[in-house]
Amino acid sequence: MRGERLAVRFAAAATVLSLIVVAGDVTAQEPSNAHLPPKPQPRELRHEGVVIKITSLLIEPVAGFLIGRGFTTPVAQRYAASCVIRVVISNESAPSNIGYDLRAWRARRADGALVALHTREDWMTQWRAAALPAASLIGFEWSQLPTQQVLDIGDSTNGMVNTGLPPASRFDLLFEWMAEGKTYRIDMKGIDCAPPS
Amino acid sequence: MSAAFLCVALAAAAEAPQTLTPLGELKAAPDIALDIVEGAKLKLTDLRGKVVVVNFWATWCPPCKREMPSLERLKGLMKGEPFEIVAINAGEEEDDIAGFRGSVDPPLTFKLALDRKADAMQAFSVAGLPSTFVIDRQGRIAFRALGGRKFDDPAIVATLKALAAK
Repeated sequence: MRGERLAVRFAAAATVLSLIVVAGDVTAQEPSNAHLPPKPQPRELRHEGVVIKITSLLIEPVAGFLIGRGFTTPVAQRYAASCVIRVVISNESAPSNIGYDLRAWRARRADGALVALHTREDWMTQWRAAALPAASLIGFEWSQLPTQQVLDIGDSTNGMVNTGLPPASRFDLLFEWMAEGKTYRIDMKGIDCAPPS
Repeated sequence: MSAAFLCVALAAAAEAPQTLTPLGELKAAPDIALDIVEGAKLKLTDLRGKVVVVNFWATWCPPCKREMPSLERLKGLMKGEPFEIVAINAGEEEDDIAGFRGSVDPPLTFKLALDRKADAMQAFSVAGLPSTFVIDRQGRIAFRALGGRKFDDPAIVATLKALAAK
């Protein structure tokens, strides 16, 4: 029983890790899925020494990760189906440290509407109300992109961000960060959410 | 031969800098007690007199996983120095962590600690994983690194050896 539980946890963790690291490679290994919409490819943006990488995450592995942390299947699938992306921000060579606040970022939908992204605090409020175990809360909280952070040169941060958009949506992501008192705004156009599972 | 050298040099030049951020104001590290995987309880203050690298991580965190082998190699490079590594796991079970330890190449021999309720993460004001803090021999937080690193990078090793000599 204990062995089975561990096996499930390792399988779920391995699945989400594989997805997060090489989401783009999965398509090439599954020619039999050619009837499905093209899977999203990782995107990268470089500006003034800051590197931002975005990968749309497939629904099933994200749900599997949460189920492995003790979330119920319906709750995990609801979260995973709301266009989850992995964001990596690196301060490789900015003129100084940089600071960002996820609450200032926006997703621009196909109809032009600007929508705020869900922060981990938004979700934690819901999960705490649902009385999830501490281990589930910790696993979720630390897998999400920190809402605010200051990154020195050489620092990076990463995590999942839930955009709240339907599967297979296409959107632009508007980033914002501060360095030396100056606000930098830049957008990444045409990001594809993962297709429905 | 020269083309190969150029490729190596370009690859090295393209890598992100391997740095630790010095903290201007040296504050005492939190006095936390930790359950060590397959070991006894440990208080961070028990390590006073040594340079201590405190790394916060999880098995499901890709950059955490990537940097683990370099922490193990760092341990070897710091042999003979007053030095310790404590990697504090974010909320996972001891069996999961023990299983992960053996799966890394080289296998991890430094201390792996449990943080079941994220108390240690809160004490160190950790915002994201991985996060690493370097505690000097006087028990103060001297350096910080957010995100993954190659801890066996010569610049980081030199920084830690200089700190160990103080």
